[in-house]
This record gives sequence, C-alpha cells and structure tokens, in this order.
Amino acid sequence: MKKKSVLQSVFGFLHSMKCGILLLLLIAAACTAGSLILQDQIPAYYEVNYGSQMARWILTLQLDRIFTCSWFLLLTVFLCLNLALCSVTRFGVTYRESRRYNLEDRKQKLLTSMKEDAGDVVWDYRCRRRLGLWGPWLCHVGLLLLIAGFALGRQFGLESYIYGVPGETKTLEETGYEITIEDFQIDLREDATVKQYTASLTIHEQESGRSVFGTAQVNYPMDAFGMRIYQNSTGWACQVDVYREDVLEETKLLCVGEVLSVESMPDLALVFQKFYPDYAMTDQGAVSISSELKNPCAGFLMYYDGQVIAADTVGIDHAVLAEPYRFVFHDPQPYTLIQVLRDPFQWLAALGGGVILLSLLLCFYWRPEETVTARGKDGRVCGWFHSRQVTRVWEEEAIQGKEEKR
Amino acid sequence: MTAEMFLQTENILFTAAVAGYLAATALYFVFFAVKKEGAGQWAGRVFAAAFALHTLAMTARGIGAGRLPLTNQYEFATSFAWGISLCYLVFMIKYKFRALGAFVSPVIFLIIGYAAMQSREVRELMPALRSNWLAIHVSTAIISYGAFGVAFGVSMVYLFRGRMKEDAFHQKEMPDLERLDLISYRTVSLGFLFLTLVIITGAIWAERAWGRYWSWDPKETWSLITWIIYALYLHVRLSRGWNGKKAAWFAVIGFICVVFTYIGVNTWIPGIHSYA
Repeated sequence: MKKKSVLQSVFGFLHSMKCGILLLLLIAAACTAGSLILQDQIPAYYEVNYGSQMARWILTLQLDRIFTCSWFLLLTVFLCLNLALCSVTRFGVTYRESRRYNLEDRKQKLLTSMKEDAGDVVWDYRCRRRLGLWGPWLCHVGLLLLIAGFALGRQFGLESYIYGVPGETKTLEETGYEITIEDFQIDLREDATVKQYTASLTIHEQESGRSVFGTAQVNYPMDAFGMRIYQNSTGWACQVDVYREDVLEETKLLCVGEVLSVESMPDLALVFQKFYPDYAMTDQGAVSISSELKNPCAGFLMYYDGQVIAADTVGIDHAVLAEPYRFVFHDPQPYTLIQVLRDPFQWLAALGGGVILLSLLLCFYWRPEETVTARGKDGRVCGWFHSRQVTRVWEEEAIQGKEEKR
Repeated sequence: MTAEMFLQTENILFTAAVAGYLAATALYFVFFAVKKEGAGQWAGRVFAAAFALHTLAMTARGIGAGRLPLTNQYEFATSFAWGISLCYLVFMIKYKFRALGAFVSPVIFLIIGYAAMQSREVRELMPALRSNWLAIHVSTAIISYGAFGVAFGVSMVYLFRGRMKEDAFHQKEMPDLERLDLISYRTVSLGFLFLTLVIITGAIWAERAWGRYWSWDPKETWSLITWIIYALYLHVRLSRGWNGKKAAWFAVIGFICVVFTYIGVNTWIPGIHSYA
C-alpha cells in the first residue's frame, strides 16, 4: 500500500469530520471562557478579581479579549478551511447521489424480501424530493458564507460613534461625513419610564455638499449614504463655566465621563463623573430617586498634577472651587450617542443564515422519497419498496451503527 | 374586565396550573413506580388540564399587560415551561408514549416553580424590546427549548430503560430503545431547526436595535455553544453512528446548556440580554 505523504495526511485531516468536530469543540470551549471571563477590562481588573497568578494566565492566553485574539481567529480560519474543503469534496458525491442513488442496493433488498421467485423482472425506479440530499452540503456552505460575511464586514465595514446635544455638528472620522444633531427627544410614559428615544439628524456629505435629514430611534435606524445610523444610547451633559478670579474664562459642554482641562493651568483637570437628576443621599450612598430634573447634582473629581485633590457632588449653579479657579455646572440636558455603521457584506451573512435554515429544512423535513418496483414479464407487480419503509430501514441501521455508506 | 382583573385572573390560573403540574408529576410517578395503569390515565388528564390552565393564564396576562407576555424572567420561564408542555403533548400523542410524562413533568414543574419565584409585576417595555421581532424571536425560542426539554426527557427514559429489568409494563408503556433513540433524534432535530431560527431572528433584531447582528453578548455566545453541542450531536450521530447511550448523554448535556443559557446567563453573567 502506498504511504501517504505528509501533505496528503494534512489535507486528509483538514477536510475530515474529525477535524471539524475538534474545531467546533475548541470554539465552544473558547466561547465558554469568553462568556465567563469579563472581556476587555484593564489588567488591574483581572488581578483584583482572579489573583495575580490567574490574571497572568488570562492575559498571556489573551482570555481577556478572546473573540478578537489571534488564536481564536486562527481557529475560525481553520473551521472555514475545513468547511470549504468538505464542501468541495462532498459536492461530487452529493451530485452523483442526487442523480440516482442506491438503486442496486434497493434492488438487492427487494430481491431478498420477495417471497416468490421473481424470475426476470423489469425494474422501475422513482424518486422525489431528491433535493433533500443537498441539505448537509448546503448547511456547510451556509455556515461558510455566514462566517465569511461576518469577517469581511468587520474588516471592510465602518463603525463609528458620535455624541452630543442638539445644535452640535460632529465629524465622522475618516469618512468625509458630518452629522448635525438637530433635536433629541426622550418620550416618557406617565410612570416616567422611557417609551422611545428619538434623534433628528442631518447627515452632510462634505465632498458633494449633499445633506440627508431623518430620525433615528431605537429599533428604527436611519439610512443615509449607504450607512445605517442608530440611536444607541444617552446620558447627561452640562455646560460648565470656568472662572478665574471671577472672570469668565470659558464655557464648555461636558458630558458625563469627559474631562475639562484648563488651558492656562494644564495640570488642573475636572472630571464629570456622574449626574444625578434627582439627587438624594441614602444608606447606599448618593442616588437619583427619579429621572426628572428635580434636584440636579453633578458628581466630580478634581485632579492636580495627576493626583485627586477633590471628589464630591455639587448642585447645579453652585461652584466648585480650586483657587484661583471656580467651576459652575449649569443647564443640564441629555445628550445622545449615535452609532454609525456600514457593513458592505451584511447581505453575505444574511444569505448564509438563509442557506443554513433552508439546508436544515431539507435535512430534516425534505427527505428523499423513492419507490422501487419490480414487475414480472406479465406486468404484474411482484415487489416494491417505498421511501417510508426505506427511511425506516436507514434509521434502524443507524441505530445499530451500521448506517449505509451513502 | 379591566387590565387589573385580567392580571388577578392570571394569578389564580397560574397557581392552579402549578398545582396541576405538581399533581400530574405525582401521578406520573405513581404510574411509573407502582406501574398502575389508572394513575397514568389520570396523570395524562391532569397534565392536559394543567396545560389548558397554563395557556389561559398566559392569555390573561397578555390581555392584562396589553402585549405578548414574553419579556421578563417570569414571563419567559412560564413560556419555557409551556413550550415543553406543548412539545410533550404533541410527541406523547404522536408516539403514544405516556410514560415520557414521568420524566418531562418534573422538569416542567421545576421551571414553572422557578417562574413562580420571579417578580410578576407587569412593566412597560423598554425601547429596545418594542419590536415585532420580539414575538418571532421568543416564540421560536419557546418551541426550540420545549423540544430540547422533551429530548432530555426521552433521553432520560432511554438511560433508565437500559438499566431496568424488562417487564410487561415497560413493554406496553415504553417504546423499545431503538424507538426511544429515534424519538430523541426527532425532537432534537426540531429543536435544532428552531434554535437556528432563534439565533437568526435574534441577529436580525439585534442589528436593528443594537446596530450589530452579532456582538458576543453572553446570551448570544451561549446560544452558539448550545447550537454547537447539538450540531455535534447530529454530526456524530449521522456519520459516526453515535446513537443510543452516547446520543442520550449528548441530549442531556445539550439541555443543561439550554437551561444555563436561559437561567444561568441571566442570573450570573451581565450582558445586554440581562432583562430577558
């Protein structure tokens, strides 16, 4: 027997089901780790929560960012390779089977099951729902399309975020588009719960000078210039006046999480840490007891030369002192976070999903039905097989681990 | 009737359904352990009555809340139990397999018991949940999880049957091992098809609501893990002849994943699906 070369062995393994199963198991294990370990945190988080030894393992194996790390991507690439090779090698077999399959085998089964001697018989073979044979093959192709669509979309798509309050215009980095936030409304119910967020936006294409106006709501994104614009999130923003010895130096809009640096004293920085529309002090600390602007307060941190010099909460229109400066928060208003996406390969992923669904329907509920009939010379039917019986034979054989090599 | 009255009615019907499932579980146990034919007949009747009450309870809640009752832990847990009940009844009638109830009804009772411990307060929907995709996504999940629940029950019967001495009761009331394996395969096939539909409809909805059709949220990730487990089951079964005991264990592990995807992920892992 001719010995296989290393290349042939590797190829053989790569397109084998054993390889596919191994890869799926590894991906499932990686996904489990990725869901149990909080992703994309700073190293200190893992040290605090898992101890330094475990944290070192997590960081070394990139378990803190599994879904984007190189070894996970490599596993996915190998899975794609396995699916592609499988699809190529199985195509011919499936095609031949779908033309006419198992007739000889059926003949033999029929002959052995006939009670009387058939003698010279004429065989009649009918088969319908042959398409069902393509189910497993299509499933592999669909999965391949889905993964390819997802990967290409991530690679060549655009994802960007802007945030701001009505009246602001923001530039989408590296795109040549600007977004003006015309209006932002939060639709509340009687019980003060949020019904809908609506951002009215104008998208400007800098090159052509064209503009498109529209609204983006949760579940109802806006489409413009081949991009999809989503109302993603919201938060609070305040105007902050900066006084130096009672002289207004600047006024800046500050969103929660943003830092205000003073030009004339770069070592001094104010961080807008949290906003309480209806501030109250409880046993659990500072909370907002409603989302209405009844008692608005701003939580802040003041840094000087990298050191925290103050951490407190201040009422709106009250001053935060850091001699010779005075900071006054005023005019709180909600800001909107807008997400902009362009995924040129989303159709490919959608096609993949559709193909997978179709393939499963074919696999499970469109199984081929065949009828094999044997007629004697006088035209009398002396034996027949129908798919229902044949199907049962397959299943019983599968039970006994003797499935036909189809 | 006002919304408040519908919700009060739901409370009564739900409690009655829980009691019904408990009674059915006890009767199925008597039927299976003591091998009393009469207990089996009564178990079937009580189970069907509990299912009817359960259906009415969900309908009353839907009317009272003014929306489909599929949006929080309580509502989804009760729907999950309802889905398993529905699938059990369908498969029980199709395969005339009443003894399956002895293994499925305790699962239903545990899940509906979990539902009973959740807050039943009716809350308005947050903007992300106000979508027609909610009904499609969650309904398919109910059928999928229901089918996997039944596959779990059938597989447990398989594993038990292999250890029990064969007698007239078993021969009459339970399919043979081959048929059990086949029923398990068919239920897994149904569940797998619907799980695929769940993931696809979820992806379409996520694209509209969150701007990404796949974002490795823990719920998404665990749905994928569950999908992989059942995909492996189907693969090794068809190509490697892994059936019988091995397939039964696979179905059991798969259902543990389903339960973790539903309860474990929501309870222990924060994510954008945390409200579900």
